[in-house]
Formats: sequence, structure tokens, C-alpha cells
Amino acid sequence: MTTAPEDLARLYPWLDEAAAAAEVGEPLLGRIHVAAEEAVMNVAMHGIGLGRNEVINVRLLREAGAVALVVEDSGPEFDPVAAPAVAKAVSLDGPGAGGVGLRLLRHYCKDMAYHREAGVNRLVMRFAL
Amino acid sequence: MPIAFEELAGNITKVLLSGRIDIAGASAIDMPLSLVGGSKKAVIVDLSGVEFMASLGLRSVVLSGKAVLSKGGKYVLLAPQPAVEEVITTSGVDELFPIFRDEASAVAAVS
Repeated sequence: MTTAPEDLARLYPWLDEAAAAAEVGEPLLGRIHVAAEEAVMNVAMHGIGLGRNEVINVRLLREAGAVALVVEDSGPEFDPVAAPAVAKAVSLDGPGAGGVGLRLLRHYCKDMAYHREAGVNRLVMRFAL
Repeated sequence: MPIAFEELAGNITKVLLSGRIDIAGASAIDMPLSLVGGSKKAVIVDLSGVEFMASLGLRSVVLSGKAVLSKGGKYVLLAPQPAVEEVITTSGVDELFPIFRDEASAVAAVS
């Protein structure tokens, strides 16, 4: 998908189809929706930029005992796995929503792995079945 | 629209969110919630009708609530469904905007 708003909105129906093909249902699918939105929108808003034609690739793979959600993009390097931990509470004085998305990613995924190669960021998020 | 409003006694504004607050839903609520944040001082956000909300929707709620709190107002959350409540508590947003189970308690908290 590109980062055009109408393209980004296709994320959820695509996830539903991919999850059905991988025989993944609720409540895990809902948790995958939360993590996928965060990962893709992080790339769209802070990496590539909204409304651009560069592509974000998203794949859902069934593994032994887990489901892997893979997000690839060619935006600036950003490793959410190595990003500093953020305090749990949202601060009234702090900026914006205060790192809410990163906390959600770390909570919903069993584990995350990041790799950058040939200018491509690859984030693999695994969810226990 | 995934957002509607009710004016309650005592100058309390009840914001009713509903459906999926996903990328499209968050876009639809962002501006109305921003207006609430800039103009109201006692706000209840009813989440009972929300089926899905993640960081984008939560961001709109947080920014609106912070605007209300920053001018001495009160902003609380009402009756989220379990999956939405997990997003809220995991993110720590409930430490700034408390969750109430029933409207009477929420009204008392913002009065």
C-alpha cells in the first residue's frame, strides 16, 4: 500500500482476509489490528510521510505456534525495538500522546525484530497463537 | 459519523464515540474532539459503542483531554469495551483520564 489515506484504510480488510487465510480469528485478530495500525502509521507519519506514492509492504505469515506480521518500507531508518522505553503514564505536560504507540506495540507482540538492509526497514512482529 | 454530542445538566458535555475508530474513524473524530478540547471544561467521553480503537484514535482523545485539563477542566472516560479498555490501560491513558463504569459516577467526577 502507499501512504495515501484511502490506501492506508485498506489495511484492516486486508488483514481480515490474510488472517482468515492463515486461520487466525478473534481475539488475536483484534490485537494484530492494533499492532498493524501502529506499525504502518508510524512509517506513514514519521517515516515516508502521508500521501506519498512510496510503498509499505505488509505480510501476515503463519509460523509454528505464532503468527508473524511483517512491515517493510524504504523510509528513513527507525528501529522501534531499540527505541528507548517510555514511562507508562501519559503526562499532561509531555508532548502529544507521549509514546502511546510504542507501548502498545510492545504489549501486544510476543516479540519484535528489526532489520535494515539495502535501504529497506523490516519489522517483524510475532503473536503467540 | 463515529462521534455525537449530548449536553447534560451542569454544563457537562458527553461525547459519544462509536464503531471502529481506526484510520478513517480517527480522521473523523480528530477535529470535533479538538473543538471540544478547546471549548469545554467538563467532558465525559462515552466509549461503550466503540468496537475498535488503537493509537490513532487514542491520540485524538488524549490531545482533546489534555487541552481540557490544561485549563482546569475535567475529562473522564465512560464504559469502554474490554478490548478498548486494554488499549487504554496498556498505554497508561487511564492514569490521566479515569475510567468510570456508569454515567452517574462519571457525571459526579466532572461536576
